[in-house]
Amino acid sequence: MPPERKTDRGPLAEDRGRWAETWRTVVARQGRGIVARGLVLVAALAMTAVTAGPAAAHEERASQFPSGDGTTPELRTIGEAADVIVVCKDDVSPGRIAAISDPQLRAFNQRLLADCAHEHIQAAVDAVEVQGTNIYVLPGVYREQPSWDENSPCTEEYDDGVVEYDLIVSCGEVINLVTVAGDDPDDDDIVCDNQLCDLQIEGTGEAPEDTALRGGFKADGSWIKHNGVKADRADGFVLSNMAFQVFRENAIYVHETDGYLLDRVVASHNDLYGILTFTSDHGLIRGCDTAFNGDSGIYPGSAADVNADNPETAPLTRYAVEVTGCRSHHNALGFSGSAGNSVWFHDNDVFLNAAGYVTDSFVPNHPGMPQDHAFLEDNRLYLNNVNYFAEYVQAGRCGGDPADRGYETGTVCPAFPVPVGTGVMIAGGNHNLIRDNDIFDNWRQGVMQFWVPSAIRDEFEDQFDTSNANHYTGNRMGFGPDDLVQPNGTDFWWDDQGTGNCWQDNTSATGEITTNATVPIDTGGEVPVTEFPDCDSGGSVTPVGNAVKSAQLVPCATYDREDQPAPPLCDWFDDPEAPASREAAEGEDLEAAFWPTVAIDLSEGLEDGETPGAPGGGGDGAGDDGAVAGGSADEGLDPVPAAAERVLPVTGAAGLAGLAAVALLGAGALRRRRHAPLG
Amino acid sequence: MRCTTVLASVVGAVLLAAPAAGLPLAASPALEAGDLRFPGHDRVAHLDAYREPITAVGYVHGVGATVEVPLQHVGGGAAVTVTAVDPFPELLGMLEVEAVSGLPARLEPGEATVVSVRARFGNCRYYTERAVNVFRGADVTLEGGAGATTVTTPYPTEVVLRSPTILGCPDRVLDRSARQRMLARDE
Repeated sequence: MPPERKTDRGPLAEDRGRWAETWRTVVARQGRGIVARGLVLVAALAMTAVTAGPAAAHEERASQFPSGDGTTPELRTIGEAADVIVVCKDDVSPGRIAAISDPQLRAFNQRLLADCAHEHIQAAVDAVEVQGTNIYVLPGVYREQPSWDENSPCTEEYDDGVVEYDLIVSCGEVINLVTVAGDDPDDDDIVCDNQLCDLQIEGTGEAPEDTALRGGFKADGSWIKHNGVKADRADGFVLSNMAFQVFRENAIYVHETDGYLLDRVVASHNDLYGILTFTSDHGLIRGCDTAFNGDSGIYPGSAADVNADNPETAPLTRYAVEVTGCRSHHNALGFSGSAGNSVWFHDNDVFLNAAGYVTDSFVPNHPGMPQDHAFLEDNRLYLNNVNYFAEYVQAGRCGGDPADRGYETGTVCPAFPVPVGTGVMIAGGNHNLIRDNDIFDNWRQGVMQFWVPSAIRDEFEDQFDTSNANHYTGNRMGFGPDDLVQPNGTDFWWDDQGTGNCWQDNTSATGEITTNATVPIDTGGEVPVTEFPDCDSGGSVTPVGNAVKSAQLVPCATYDREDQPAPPLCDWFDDPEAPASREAAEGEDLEAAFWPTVAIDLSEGLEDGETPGAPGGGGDGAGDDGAVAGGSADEGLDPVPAAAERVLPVTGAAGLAGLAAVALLGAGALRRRRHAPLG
Repeated sequence: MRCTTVLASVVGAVLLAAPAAGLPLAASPALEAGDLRFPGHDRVAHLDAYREPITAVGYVHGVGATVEVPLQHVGGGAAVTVTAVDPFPELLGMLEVEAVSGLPARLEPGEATVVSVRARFGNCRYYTERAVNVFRGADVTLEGGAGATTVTTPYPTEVVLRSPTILGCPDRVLDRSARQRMLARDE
C-alpha cells in the first residue's frame, strides 16, 4: 500500500505537460538576452517561470538516530506562532520590501518591519524564549558577521577536529554561521528540550533568494564557514523561503533531529552539499532548488533506518524523509545518500548534473548501513551528463585557495567519483524501488546498480549484504518531451550480483530496453538467460557478481580531486557521447544548458572592504543583537543591489527560469565559456 | 591454478595499461610477488568476486601489522639477491613500513621466499573519509652484477585500504583537502 502523501502535488509537482515546458526552456535556444539586475531580475524570472510553466558521505561526530517518536512539522502561520521575532537589515530590507509586487505580501512585510529587533539571524535565535517561535527574516543578504571567527573568542581553542554536541551548544560558530541546538547537552538523550524546539525560520520575500544567508571567503582565501545553518537535535525545525549559498560543506544541515521541514529553500554554490540531513527522522524537503554543489544537491544520509528489518521492498507505509517538488541540477550529484535509508523521493526533477540520484553503502561510521528502502517514484531524471571532472578538476581549477576557484560563478569541484552520464546509481543498496520515473538522455546509463562489499565500509562480517531485492518497474526510458526519442546510453546496468533484484514493465522509446546483460545469468531456471530477471520470477538468485563488469570500480575509487584527478584505469570521467539515435529538440543549445552563466555577489551584505580576516574588516559585531530601528517602506532605499555585475539567482521557479534564460541566450556574450586548462 | 591464471591476467593487464595510466612498469620479469598476507590482523577480506580479486584491509589508527610478502624467482639464468622490499610504495600512504626482516635473500631461479614486513597504520590525517589507497605492487630492490635495481612487482590481488572517517582518525582535521599531503610530499 503506497504511503499517504504528505503534500498535495498541485503547487509543487507539475503535471507532465508543464514539466515538459520546463525541460524545453532548459535546453532551448532563442535569440534574446537578459538585461536586469538583482530583485528586478528576480521578479522578472519569477514571472517568466509562471508564464512559461516552469554527487558520499561526510565527517561528523558519532551520531545516532532519534527515537522516532516525533512528527513532521507543518509550516506555521504568524497567528499560530507562540512568539514572533523579526530580523531585518535596516539599510536594505525597507527598500526591498517596497519593491515587493504583491501588495498583501508587501503589507505583511511592512508590518513586520516595524517590529524588527535584530539584524542577524543568530541573534534572533539566541533571543527565542518559548518553543514554537516564528522568526521572520525580512529580505536582504545576511552574512552574520558576529559569527565570524575573529569575533568569537570561543573559537580560538577549536582545533578544527570533530565537533561534539557540547561544542555546538557552547560555540556553534566554530563551524556554523547560524546554529539551532535544541537539546540540553547535560542530559543523556538527544531529544529536543529547550526553547528552540519547533522553531520556524522563514524568509518573507517573494522568492527564496530575496532572503539569503551567504558565506563566502576570508581574506586569506579560505572559507568563512563550514555550514550555513545547522539544526542540531532541533526537533520540529522549519526552514522556509530562503537561500543559502557559498559554504565549505553544507548550506543547510539537519542533524539528529526528529521532525523537520525544509520548504522552498535554495542551496547552491557549496563545496559539498546543498541540503544535508544526517541521522534524522520525520523529514520533509519540498520545493527546493539545489545547484552548483560539489557533492550533491540533496543528501539525506543515514536517514533513520525505520525499515531496517522490513523484508518488503517499497512502497511502504513509513519513511524517514520525503523529498518532493525539488529541482536539483548542476551539481556533481543531484541527490546522494550514504545509507540513504527509507527515503521517499517523488515528483522531483534531477537534471544537468554529472550524475542524478546516487545512494551508496561505501562509507564507515554511518548508522544504518547498508543502505535500504528508498522509493523513487514519478521523478524526471535527465541530461545528467555534465562533466565537472574534466571541466574543473582535471583542468586544475579546483586546486589553490577556495576563493580563487570560482564557486560563486558556478565552479563545481566533485568530491566523489561517479560515472558521468548516469541517471540513477545504486551503489550497494537493498530493497529500493525505482518505479514510474522518466529516465532519459543520460548518455552513459539510465540506471546503474552494483554490489559494494561490506569491507569497503570497514565491516568484515558478511561481504554480500548489499545489492539485494531492488526493483525497477514501470519506468519510461528514453522518452523525451514532445515525443522526442532521447535514449540513455544503456537503460540498465547491473553487475549481475545480488538476489531478488528485478526489472519489469519498463518501457523504452526505442522499442527495446537496453541493458549490459552480456553473459548468461543464472536465474534459477533450467537455462541461463541473457536478460535481467523480472519480478514475477522472484528476481535474481546469484549472490556473486560479474567481475568483468566491476572492473572500473576500484580504480575509480582512488579519485581525489586534488591529488588524483584522473585515476589510472578509470573511464568514469570521460565525456559520455550522446546516443546516435538521440533526437535533438528544436533550437536546443546544450552547451549553454550545461554551462550556464551564474554569479553570486559576494559583496552583498558587507560594508565596503569588509572581509573576515582582513585588516579593518571582520565586522566587529557592533549592534549584534541590539535593537534595530524599525524601518518603513518609504525610506527610499534602492531596491536594486549595488553590485555592478548582473546577478542570476538560482532558485525554485525563478532559478530554473534563470537557467532557461541563460539557455535562451544561446551563443550570446553572457554565456560562460568552458575553461581552458590552467596548466 | 586459479592463482596462476589471475596472476597472469593481472600482470598482463597492468603491463598493458601502465604506459597510458602512468603506472610503474615491472622491469624485472624474473621476480613475481604473491598475494600479501596480514597474519594477526582481523580486518582483512579477500573478495574473489570483486573485479579481479581484491584484498580489503581495515585501517586501525596507530596499530602495527605484520605483512608477509611472497616473492619468487620465475626467470631463468642467474640468481638475484633481494636487498629491500616496500610493499606499500605510496608516499604518505596509510600503511608505512617500519622494519623488514629476512633480507637480504638470495633466490636461485625457481626459488621462493617470504619477506616479513612490520608496518603501521598511519597518515590518515592526510586523507579524507572518501579516500582509498590501492596498493598494486611492491617495490623490490635487487642486487646483481650491474648494481642495485628497484623494480615494481605487481600483486596478483590488489590491496585496497580505505581511509577511516574522522572518528577513526584522531589527528584529522576538517580540512577535506589533499593539500597537506601534497605539501608534505613536496618536502
